[in-house]
Order: sequence, then structure tokens, then C-alpha cells
Amino acid sequence: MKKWMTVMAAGLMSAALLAGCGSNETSTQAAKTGNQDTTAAGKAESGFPSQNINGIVQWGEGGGTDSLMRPLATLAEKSLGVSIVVQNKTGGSGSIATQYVYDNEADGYHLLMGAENPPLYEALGILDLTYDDFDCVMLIGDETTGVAVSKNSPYQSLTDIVNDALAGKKITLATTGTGGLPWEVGALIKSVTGAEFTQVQYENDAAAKVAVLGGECDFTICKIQSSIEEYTSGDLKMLCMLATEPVALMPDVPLVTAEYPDFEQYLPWGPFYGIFVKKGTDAEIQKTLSQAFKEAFDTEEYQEILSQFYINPLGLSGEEAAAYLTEWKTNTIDALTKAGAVE
Amino acid sequence: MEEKKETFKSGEKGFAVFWLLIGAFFFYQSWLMYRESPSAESHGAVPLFVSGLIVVFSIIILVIDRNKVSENHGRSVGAMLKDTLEKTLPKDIVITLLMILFYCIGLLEGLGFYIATPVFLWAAMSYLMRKDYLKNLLWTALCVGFIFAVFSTLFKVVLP
Amino acid sequence: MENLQYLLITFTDPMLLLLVAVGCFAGVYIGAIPGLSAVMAVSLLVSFTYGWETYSAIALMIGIFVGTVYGGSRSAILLNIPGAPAAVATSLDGYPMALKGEAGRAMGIATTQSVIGTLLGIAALAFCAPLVAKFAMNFSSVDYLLLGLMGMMMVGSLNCKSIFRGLLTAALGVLLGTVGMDTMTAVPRFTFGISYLNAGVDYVVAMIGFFGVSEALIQIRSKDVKAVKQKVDKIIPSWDTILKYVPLTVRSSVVGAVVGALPGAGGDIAALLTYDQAKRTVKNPEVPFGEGAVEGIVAPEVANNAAIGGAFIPMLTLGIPGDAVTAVMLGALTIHGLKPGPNLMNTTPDLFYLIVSCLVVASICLVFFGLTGVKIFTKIVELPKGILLPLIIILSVVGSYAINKNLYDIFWMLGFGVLGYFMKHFEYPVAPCVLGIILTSLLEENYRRGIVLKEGVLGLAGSIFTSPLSLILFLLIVFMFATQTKPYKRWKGKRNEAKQKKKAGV
Repeated sequence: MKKWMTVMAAGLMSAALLAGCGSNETSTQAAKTGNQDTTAAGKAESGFPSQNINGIVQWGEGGGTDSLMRPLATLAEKSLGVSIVVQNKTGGSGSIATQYVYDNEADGYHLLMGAENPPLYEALGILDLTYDDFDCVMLIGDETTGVAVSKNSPYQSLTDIVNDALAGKKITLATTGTGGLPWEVGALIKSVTGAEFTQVQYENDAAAKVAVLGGECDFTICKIQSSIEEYTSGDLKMLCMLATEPVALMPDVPLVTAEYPDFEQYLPWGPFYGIFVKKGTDAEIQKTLSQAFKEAFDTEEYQEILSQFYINPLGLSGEEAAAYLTEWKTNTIDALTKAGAVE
Repeated sequence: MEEKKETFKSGEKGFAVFWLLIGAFFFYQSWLMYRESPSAESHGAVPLFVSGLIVVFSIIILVIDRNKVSENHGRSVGAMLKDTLEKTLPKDIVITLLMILFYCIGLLEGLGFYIATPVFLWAAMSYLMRKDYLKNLLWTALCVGFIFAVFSTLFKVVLP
Repeated sequence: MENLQYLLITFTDPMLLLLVAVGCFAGVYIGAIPGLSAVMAVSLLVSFTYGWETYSAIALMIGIFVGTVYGGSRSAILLNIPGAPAAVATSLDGYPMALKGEAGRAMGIATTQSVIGTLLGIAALAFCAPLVAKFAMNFSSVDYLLLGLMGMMMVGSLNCKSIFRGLLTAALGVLLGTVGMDTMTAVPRFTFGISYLNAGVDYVVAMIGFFGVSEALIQIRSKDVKAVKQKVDKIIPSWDTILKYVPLTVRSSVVGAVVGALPGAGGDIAALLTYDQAKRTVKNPEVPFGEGAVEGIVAPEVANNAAIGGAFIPMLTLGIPGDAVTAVMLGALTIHGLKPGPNLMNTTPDLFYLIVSCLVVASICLVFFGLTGVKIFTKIVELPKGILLPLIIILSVVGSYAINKNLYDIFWMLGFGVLGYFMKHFEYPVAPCVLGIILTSLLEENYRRGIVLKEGVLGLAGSIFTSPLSLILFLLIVFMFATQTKPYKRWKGKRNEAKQKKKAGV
């Protein structure tokens, strides 16, 4: 008797869960987005999309990139009418995901959801692909970054760190690997000041931050979203921000240009996030995707999310996105070449 | 406590040699990598160390066990090989492996998971059980149904 | 005082209770299927619960988290296929117990110990979070390296024909772990131009192959042997049994909570460490380890569940995830408008207590769901092998495919399965190989970081002595190593003899 009851209970629960899952897209969206006007637009004449789309994220679950992509994908599913199955293929500073999407057909069913590292792959010898081999269907936004040290650090300003480094002292910079954010800024700093640092690599920016907090490394470069909490609590000291204007949330942190005016030529600069398809994907398909993502982007919920993560919203696609990417790549590679980080 | 005189299965010593070869091969590859950037923290350092360990350990194993008697002891090479193959790969296993192979080929050729799997399941079950052919169909259906429910619907895993 | 009222949130809201229960239930079965993992489930949930209330979303996620950690032990015990890396240690003694017909008892113990472990982990979270967090932050790269080495010492715990075989397969495991694009220099290693290998060998794929398929293949030889009838009358262990293992339970939960709190390590490493520790410290197990010792299930199950509570510690106090699942949850929290970080406890104390209470509810649910499904599951093992083995093979196929939706994963998994079959046939242990693959990144990355930080191998070795934490870990390893060697065993043997004589003589 007991056995049958358990089986029944199990069956009922699974059924409930399955039913819940089956209708998840419609019910949860409907519940939250009551006021949204549900545009049924999107399906191009070619019948795209006719099956689920794969979104491949370059970085790990729960990380900065992932946390921006998943909600956007969920919101875009409505106008596309199919599921966007988001997966993470990490490694090689995002190159593994990049290669993977490239290896698939340019049919719009495989989206590359990435950050700012790909433009540098060729120059760094990581991969023979960059975003030039892809078209951008949505450039979500970029971020402001700054130099972070632990609260116990003897350094009060970037100048202190640079001077020590120039004097030959071993200064450790916690990085996320060649092509990652701290590495990029490290090269920018080198090209402006000539200072070199000993780079210690960690799996991701959270681990790099922990290294600085724990005293294992001298400093690292943090995006606002990764540092705001520790900054507020005092565990991290932000020495300067790489921005052209003071950052509203960190008003007393100076701008890097105050100490090193030469930085001006590279700013504004920052990590960015975007969704790409392989070059050669049909223009209609790209338009459908861009439209869907733009609608999702414009929703109140998503804008909320962008502000939770302190992202500067962009929402570009097509020509504008391409222009942004070109400028970013040129600026960054210029700086890196000067720094001797690339040939 | 007496050390039991252990006998080796046929092919066991050969297996150790197999590891030695593998270890040596990877050691060589690691060495090539290490040369690219020789230093303790090079990307070749750990592979070099580890493949070296494989080489060392396989040699140790061969040495320690050289006195142990193998089932195959004293036979000609041909007989040894035959015996090893028989003992290691009895007919059942070979057939199962072949079925798995065909299954893989089926998947590769685009046969589709929902076709290849039931075929494999029913064939494997029937072969191994050699009876209950109808019952096996039931099991197959249950299994595929379960997979469909859990993987496809719940997790939206698109099967090949 | 008002904080305590937050604790009651979950208990008073039937919706939350239901969500935790559903999550826990689903989690147990998800965890039991190899290839489906907590991270996968929780990642899907983030999108799924995106429009929900924060509390509800978290309740469901926690339910699934707890469920899957426990669930992994099910398939580990019944089929020798760990449902998750954390269950590898459980299979070492759990499966032999199943072979002897004691699967019911094994699962009962696994359930109760998992529940106890979860509760103890919660206790650590609720009462000592700031303390543990601070301790965890003190772990440097060198300490992680030592921790990884301690995990590798487990090789010595395994019963195998000769320790060198275990060491060889362990070295093989690490070698396999290095395959792929090196995360630190982006240089491909051992890929031989195969782009699939750029991402390296996925340890879950390897685990499913080495444990699952190889076991299925080996069993074909004995396919006509009648499956052992499982005793299912005494599933729930008696109080005496539980009390007997209290010291071990407490020890394992401490290790579990602390290791879970380390950002770089999680439940899987905790389980391996405590299994090893149990083997060394339990003097006279009724059954030798590796053949069905109950202690071999108690320790890892307590540890991997305690690690759940542990993983939340840095996540809630510092905003740094203790493991992959909490990493995903952090993203979810931020999306819901929360700000994980050092200020979280101050700005939203209700969240902390919500999580604590959800975990408690999940533990209670675990008792029910864990113990009720046992009978059905044990029936699975009683299936005639001819039916069971193809099912296992197909399940392995689907499981390995589910991880990355990559067809080639299936083939590699099968390849590992065949290799594993040969290894098992010739009595080379498979577990150290999987262990090696799991631990490679922990070992290698921290080793290389250490070299950079301390300038050279000598500097690295030297730094062990400058940090008290490193020194303690190092001495532990030396001790662990020394207790393996023959001279020590002889000495110990003589000592025991002397003790016996004394007892008899008195």
C-alpha cells in the first residue's frame, strides 16, 4: 500500500513539474510582464526560427557575462517563439565558445554570447578568429573599471604602485589570463607609464578579487559590479577609475587621467557584452534576431538588471555595433602594441 | 602471513607494457611542449612530470611482478595472444562492443537518437538474455519514454 | 530578536514549503541520473524563475541543490556510477554493499548521514559564518595545492593489487586532465589537432565512462549470475547505529563545511578527503574499507552535504561563491535585485535566514524522499543483468550527451568505458584516474600560481614553512604518507599485537 502511494505521489509531482516546465515560458512571462505589449512580430518569411536556438556563453555560470545573457535570452524567447537554450562553454578566455559557434552553420541557430576578449585573439595567438568573423546582433553594454587594492594595502594611488614597479619592486597583479580584463588594463597601464607587473592568473574575476582581498596579490582591475559591495563595506580600496567622468557610485575615487593624462587617448574603454552570429548569416535572420533582442533589451525588467549590474547600456546592432567594435579593437590593439604586449 | 603466489591473467603483463608505451609517448609530447618554454611553471611542466610518473610506475610494476607467474607462462607467442584475446574479450563482450559501435555509427550517420536507441536496447537486451523478446520491447519502450520525459521535456536537451 | 522571526518565514509560508519540497524531490532524482548535475539544474532554474518572487526562486533552487547532492549517492551505490563527482567516494563502499545485498541499508545510511551533514553544515552557516569565511580567505594558492595533494593521497586508501597501479592510474588521470587548451597560456595541449579536445576531457564524461560503461561491460561476463536479492527490511538505521558514528560524522562535517566554504573547492573534494580520513582513523571497521564498510559511506555523504552549508558561507558573507552552484545563485540573486557582498547580511538579513530555513526544510524533505524511494530503486538492481546493462549503457550515453550537447562526448565516454573495462579486468583501479582528472585544475593552477608568486619551486617549498596554515597542511600530508608505508604498518601491527597481548594478559 505504502509503496503505491509513494509511486503515485512521485508521479503526481513529476507531472506537476513537467506541466510547469512545459508552460514556463508563457506563464512566468505573462505573470510579470502584464503591461508589456506582446508583439507577435519576428518570424521572418524564411520561417526562422523553426527550432530552438542555442546560446553559447563564453564564460562560466553565474558570472558577469552569463548573468546578463540568460535574462535577455528568456525575454527574447517571447518574440522569437522558440526557446533559447543557453549553455556555457568556458575556457581559453572565451575562445572555446567562439570556435564552437564558428564551427557550426551560419544559420542563426547558434549564437555567440560573449564579452570583450575576442577582438584580441588573433593578436595574442589564441585563435585565428575574432569578432570580425561574426556579425553583432546585439551589443548590450559596457562597463567602467578601476584599480582595486585591499583595505590593508600600503598603496594610496596608482602612482604609488607604478613608482614601486618602476623602481624594480615585484608588484603582483591578479589576472584572469591573457586577454582578460586585468591583463588588458595591465597592458594599458604599461603603455602609458612603462611599469610592468608580475601577473598571477586565476580562474575568473571573483577569484582574482579574492586573491587581492586575501593579500596574495597587490592589486587587480575590477568592474564596478564586482567591486561595489566591497568598496561600500571598505574591504576594497578603489585607487582610480578608468573613465572620463567621475563614477556616480564611487564619487571620491579619482579618475586615472588625474594622475596620467595620457590615458585620455584610450578612454572611454571598458569590457563589453554582446550577442553574435557567424558572418554570412542571412540578413533577414540577423534582423529578426536583432529585433527580438532589442525588444527584450528595452523592457523595464532588463533595464533594471542592467542597472543592478552597473552596466552602461548600449543596445546597438548592425552598423552602429560594428563601428563600436572596430573602434574598441583599434584602440586596444594600439595600446597593447605600445605596451609590447602584442606584436 | 604468507604471500600468496599470485597468478596473472593472460595479458596482464602486456597491459603494463601498454602503459609504459603510453607513458613514453606522452612524455615525449610533453617534452616537446616543455621545450617551448622551459620553466617550472611552463604549460609543459605538469604533463612532463605526470607522464614521467606513468613511465616510472609501469616500469616498477613490470619489475616487481616479473617473478609472478602468468597463466600464459611458457606458451608460444601466438598461443599467448589467442588466449589473451579469449580471456579478455569473450564473445559476449565482443558482440556488445560491436553493437555499441553500430549504435555510434548510427548516431553519426544522423539516424537519430530515438531510432538508434530503441534498436540498440532491444538488440542488446535480447542478445544478452536470449529470451523474453517481447518483454524486452516493453523495457525498451519504458526506457525511451523515461528518457524522453526527463531529458527532452524537462531539461530541453535536444537529443541528436 | 527580529532576526529570529525571519527564520520562520519559510515555515509559515506553504508556497515556499512546497517549492523546497518539490525542488528537493526533483533534485534527488536529477542527482541520481549521471550526467545531470546540480549546476545544470540550477542554471536552468535561473531563467525559469526569472519572473518569480525572489524567495520562491531561492526556495526552489535550494531544494534542488540539496536533493542533487544527495541523489548522486543513489546511483553510486546501486550502479557504481556516481551521479556527481561528490559521490565517487560513496561508490567505493556503497557499491560493494549493494553487491552483497545490502543496498537498502547503504541507502538508508546515506540518507540519514546526508541529512545530518546538511544540518551540521547549516549550523556552521548560521552560527559561525563570519569566522569560517575569514578562515577560508586565508587560504593561499599554496594551501589549495596542498589540499589537492591531500585529495590525491586518497589513492593510497584504495585497496588494489599494488599501490603502484593506483599511482599509475592517478598519474594517468592528471595527464588526461591536462588535455585541452591550457587555461593559463591558451596553448593547446595533447589535442593533436582535434578541436573537440580544446575544451579538454570533461570529468563527468570520463566518470560516466570509467565507472558506468566499464562496469556494465565487466558485468556482461557474469550476466547469468542471479542478481543479489536486496534486503529491504532494515533501511532506516537504528539510533544505535547513528550514535556509533557520531565522532566520524562530526569530523566529516567540519571538514565538509570548511572545504565547502573554500571558494576554490567544493563537496567533491570534501567527500574524498573525509573518505580518506575515515579510512585512516577508523580502527576496526566491521568490514574492511572498499568491501562495504559503512564508515565509507558515512564520511563522504556527511561531508558533501555539509559542504552545501559551507558553500553558502562565503557566498552570503562576501559575495564570493563557495562552489559552482552558489556561483549561479549569485547571478540569480543579482538579477532579482539583491546585492551579494559583504553588505548583504546588513541590508537584507531576511535573505540569510530564509536560506538557512530553506536548507533546514530541504533536509527534512530529504528524510522523506530519501527513505521512501529506496524500495523502488533497489528493485532496479534486482533486474536481470541482460536488461539492466543495456539500460545502463544508454543512460550513460544520454547522461554524457546532456552535459554539453556534444555528440563526441558520447564517443569519448564510450572510449573511456572500454579503457576502463580493460583496466578493471587487469585490476588497475579506475577511481584514482577519475580522481586525477577532477583534481588536475586544482593542483596544476595553484602549483603554477605558487611558482609565480614565490619565484620558483624552492620558493614555493619554502613558503610552506612561513605560513602556519600551509605548515599544518603539509605535516598532515607527510603524516598521511607515512602511515601508508610498510615500515609504519609493521610498527603499527606490532603495537596492536602488544596491545592484544596486554588485554589478554590482564
